[in-house]
Amino acid sequence: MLDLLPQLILSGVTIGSIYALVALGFVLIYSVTGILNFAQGEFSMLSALLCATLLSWHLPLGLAALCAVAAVCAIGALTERLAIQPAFGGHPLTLIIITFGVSMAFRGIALMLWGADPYTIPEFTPGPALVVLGGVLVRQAMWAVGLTVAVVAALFVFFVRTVPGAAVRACADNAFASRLVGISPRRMSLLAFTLSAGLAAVAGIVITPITGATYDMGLSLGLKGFVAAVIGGLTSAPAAVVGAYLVGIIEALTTGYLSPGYGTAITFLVLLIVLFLQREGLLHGAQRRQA
Amino acid sequence: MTRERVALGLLALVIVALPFAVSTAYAFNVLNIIGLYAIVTLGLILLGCSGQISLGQAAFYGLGAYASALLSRDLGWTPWITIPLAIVAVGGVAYVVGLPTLRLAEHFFVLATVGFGIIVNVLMVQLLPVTGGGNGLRDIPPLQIAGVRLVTDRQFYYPIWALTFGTLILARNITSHRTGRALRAILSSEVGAAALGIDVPRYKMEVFVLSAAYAALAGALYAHYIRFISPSPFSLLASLFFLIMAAVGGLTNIWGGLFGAALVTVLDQVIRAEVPRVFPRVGGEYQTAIYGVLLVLIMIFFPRGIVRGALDLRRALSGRSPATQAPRADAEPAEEGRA
Amino acid sequence: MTPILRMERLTRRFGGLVAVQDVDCAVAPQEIVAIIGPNGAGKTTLFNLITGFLPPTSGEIYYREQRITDLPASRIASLGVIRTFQNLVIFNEITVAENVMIGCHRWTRTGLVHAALGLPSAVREDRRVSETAREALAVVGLDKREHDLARDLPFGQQRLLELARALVARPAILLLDEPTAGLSAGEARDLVTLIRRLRADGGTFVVIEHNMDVVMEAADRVVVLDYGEKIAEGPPQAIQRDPRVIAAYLGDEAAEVSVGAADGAHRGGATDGARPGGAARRETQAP
Repeated sequence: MLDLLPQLILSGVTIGSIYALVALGFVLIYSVTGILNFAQGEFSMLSALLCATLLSWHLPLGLAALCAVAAVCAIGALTERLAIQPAFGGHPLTLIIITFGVSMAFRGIALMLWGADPYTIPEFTPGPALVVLGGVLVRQAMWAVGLTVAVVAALFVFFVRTVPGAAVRACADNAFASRLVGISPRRMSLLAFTLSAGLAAVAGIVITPITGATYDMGLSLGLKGFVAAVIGGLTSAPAAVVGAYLVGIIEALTTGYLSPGYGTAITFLVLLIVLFLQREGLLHGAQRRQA
Repeated sequence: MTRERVALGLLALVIVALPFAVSTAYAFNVLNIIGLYAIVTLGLILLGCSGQISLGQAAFYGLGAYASALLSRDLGWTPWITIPLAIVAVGGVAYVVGLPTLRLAEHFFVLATVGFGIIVNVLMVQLLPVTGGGNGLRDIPPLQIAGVRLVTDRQFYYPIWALTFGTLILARNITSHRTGRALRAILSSEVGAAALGIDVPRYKMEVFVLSAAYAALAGALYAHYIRFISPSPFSLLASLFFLIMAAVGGLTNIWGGLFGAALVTVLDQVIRAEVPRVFPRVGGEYQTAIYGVLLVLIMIFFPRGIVRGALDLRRALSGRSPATQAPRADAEPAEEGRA
Repeated sequence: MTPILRMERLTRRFGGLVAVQDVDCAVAPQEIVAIIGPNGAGKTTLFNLITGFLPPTSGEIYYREQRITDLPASRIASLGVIRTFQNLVIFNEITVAENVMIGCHRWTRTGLVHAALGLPSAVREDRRVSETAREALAVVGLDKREHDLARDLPFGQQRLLELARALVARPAILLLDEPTAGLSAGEARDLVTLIRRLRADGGTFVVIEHNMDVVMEAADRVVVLDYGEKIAEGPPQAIQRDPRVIAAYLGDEAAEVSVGAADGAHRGGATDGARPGGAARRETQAP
């Protein structure tokens, strides 16, 4: 029984990297716009399926991946302009429902375009799996972890060292004040959505060689990434990353020791527990809404 | 108020008269489903009147169905007992769920309901010995009135719609008088409501339990009507479906619940019939695309429901000053800092 | 006579920041007490503590000698301690009339069951409440607008709406947070007249105010807060001349210069501890 443990942890870390990317997207959008984007997972699904299609048109892997990510970034931007902007400034629940609607729409369109069958993408670097610390690690898993680390580092550089990054952080901190210094929240919103879509897109492509891609992979990915983001309080990127690995490992352990079906339920139990531990007082939350 | 009395009277008339205009089992089936969905949606709208949105309504719907089904099938109790018992039990579950979740800020509350719904759905599938798992529960005993077993769609029509009518009146009453005012106050500003002595947590809990009870009633009826239940009609997708019905009617509009349930159910039937003809390759949840887009459009253009939205639009187009033009919630400028 | 409201060593800390410090205060029936102080002095925080929207770090609050310190806000309000808000909290989505009707909540009784069954008692109560609302709106002059949406009113009228709503709650004590903010001079005068009349009818008021004319005219007693502490208390004329108060608002130089206020004992010694002079030291508002 215990000999399963290293393997499960490795699986957990692998999938946790993917959740981290999705979670970062959630945190980004929420910090900048206050919106919970439930369509986040669908961006992963779209990029995976697009990449698979491009590959079937005989594009080399690198190019296909790049195009797919770029296309999904564009879709993210379009979503922001068409579905989010018109309702901007409205009740936050309206926007949440809209993002649910968008995720449903994407899912249905994907079903119509790609059907219900699973698609695959070849491993980035084919080769035998490695044995690490008593568990088997497929090479793609190293790509997953490695890419996540690289992306997180790049994001760090972007936000801390560049001017546009500082603008985004300013907007996340205080949208009103940002406007006073000439930063446009609307443009920041667009940037946040585009970037988040890109993060999710990378996640989708990286995980597909391991788990395959189907039209409905987005819901589960999105929800788990969301749980991870909530663990980070929805505003802390580092905590979201930690949360993502936590979710991944818990899920792997549950799947291994209990049964796959319970994996999702346990993740949500974690979500509920985290939500309850984080509640705010009536005035605190309400005052913000009054302001 | 008297205008509403007239509307209620007309509705009662239509309900009573419809079976004489309709003959096929299919038509009765659709009408019965509309009636049941209307009850679920009414529950959602009651919740909406206090400013909360739930994406777990299908879970309560399903819990009601499973509770009544199991009690009547495995313990042999008559549905006349198991249905009320199921309602009370699900109400109790809602109370327990509500205790920690109703304190949460709105979007976190929605998430908690999503989580709850998923957990319940997973349990329905996983607890095989109890629930029959993914294959579902069969042989649910039928409802009997005066010795007559209700097994056809036609026979169920009046019982279901009598309850739909009753729950509609109940909902209208609750949203009138002092309770309705308190709910609207809470919806507008929980802080302002508390400052006037309104016990906000208590009202939110009462409404939450009530909305779950509505869903459970519909679920229990569904179980004894279809007499076969499985986890799939009680999924997150189903909750979204109910939300769409509520949104179409206007999230805080009681009559809208009936309207939304009817419209969306009929729309669904049309889609199921027509789409395979246009996209023959597609099977499964293609309607999610349509509903997704529909939901987005409704929330952007008709946040107060289609009828209100259409009226507002007509008012705006004719240049008259919009009497109650505002969208459902205050459009606070985004610049005042994010919550 | 027992005070309607009494605070004992009321304190509220936010981490390292002390917003309200050891405030003692009592309000007698039919008094009009004004609370003044520079921005960030903790006045609204004090209201939040009294009305249960913020738990105190230490200290006690008594309403008619009944301890209300840890009660939830709705409970305190239902006892008769009614407040208005600095930033105006009205129910935007509903009509003016219904806004005021909600104010009647604490002394009406229809619960979920009675309402659900549509019992005649509920209907009768609605009529009473509706009448009460209409009367209150007439008092503040908003009766013509009873069917308008609250959000459509101009700011001054929204303030009156909030006041009318507070009044129909039949408060034992009414806490008004900057009621004249945004009102014209004439409107402010009308408000003072109204408050005076209500006091004569038995009302008790605590008012946070920045408008000194209003304070001078309406208040029986003035309490001055600065940096969360009560630095002075007394009749308006005395407070106006108190060097500590002047120092709090304008800086120490101004206190030393205001010769008319000084009697020898206060001059030069008005300040306690190191305090940089000038209004510039006023920073962000306390929460």
